[in-house]
Amino acid sequence: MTSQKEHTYLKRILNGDLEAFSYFVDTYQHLAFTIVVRIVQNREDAEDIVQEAFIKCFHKLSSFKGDSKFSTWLYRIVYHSALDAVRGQKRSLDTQVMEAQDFYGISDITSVLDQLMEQDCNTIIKAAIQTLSPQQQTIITLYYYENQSLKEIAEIITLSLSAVKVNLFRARKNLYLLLKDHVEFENRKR
Amino acid sequence: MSEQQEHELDKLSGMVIRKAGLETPPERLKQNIMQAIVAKSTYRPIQGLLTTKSKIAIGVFLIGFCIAIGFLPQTNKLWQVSGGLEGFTGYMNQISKDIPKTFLYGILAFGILVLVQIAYLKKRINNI
Repeated sequence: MTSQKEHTYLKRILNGDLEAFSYFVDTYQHLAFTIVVRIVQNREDAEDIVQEAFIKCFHKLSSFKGDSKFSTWLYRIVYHSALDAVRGQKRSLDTQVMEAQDFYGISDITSVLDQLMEQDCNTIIKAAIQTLSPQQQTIITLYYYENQSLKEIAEIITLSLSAVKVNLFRARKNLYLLLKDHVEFENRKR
Repeated sequence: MSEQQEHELDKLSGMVIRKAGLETPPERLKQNIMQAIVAKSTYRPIQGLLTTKSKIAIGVFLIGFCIAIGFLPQTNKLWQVSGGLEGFTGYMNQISKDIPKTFLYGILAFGILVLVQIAYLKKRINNI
């Protein structure tokens, strides 16, 4: 459900106070931009897509009924706008399926990442995230960063709850495998 | 995969995503969004000069006129109602020998509509 504060801002906008929309831009632009950058992998394109998505959202405000969180509604528009852009570029939306026989050394990965310089660590992590499919990137970002429930994520991505659960598990597994490769590489360097 | 491993994987993923942080959008993004919204919202589409009410009124008048025309006199007597108009009606009688009265009523109604609309539209244009 939309919070009381957001309801107040929505009312103001619908009554013609356009400046009230800046509250929503301030609140959601960072995560919206992150979702889009990770999908389109280009900051300039992401900027245009986020801008268009916010404008689209503004023009559709009167159709927002408030029975879901405003963020869920907004991220849905943002996510699908980014996906449309990627489809336009004919970039693959799939990620390669990785198979893990066993999950050992998870705590080793954590400690190696902790030991790495912040910048190196960020580069490795971002590279690993980039290799996930747009869907998995969005699911894992919303789940861990925004603390969105699986049901809300399913609404944003337009997938069933069980499909979101499966994709979240695959995203975690793929991240682990990619980071494991990096960590083994780092260990060999030492 | 054991429950313990699943928990560790969940912990690792959470840590990784939080470490990756959020991308910082360019400062101009908010400004661009707000500018676009204000620009699009201040755009006023061209309004029709005739409001729906006046269109309905004109429609009702025309339908009423078409119905009423059947009850109006179709003889030359109409033009002799007013003595002051005799000269004019004489002329009308002359030209109406060949032209049916209904046609003249039509011209009259059209003229009234034009006169009313000119005054009305002028007022509307002045108000825009």
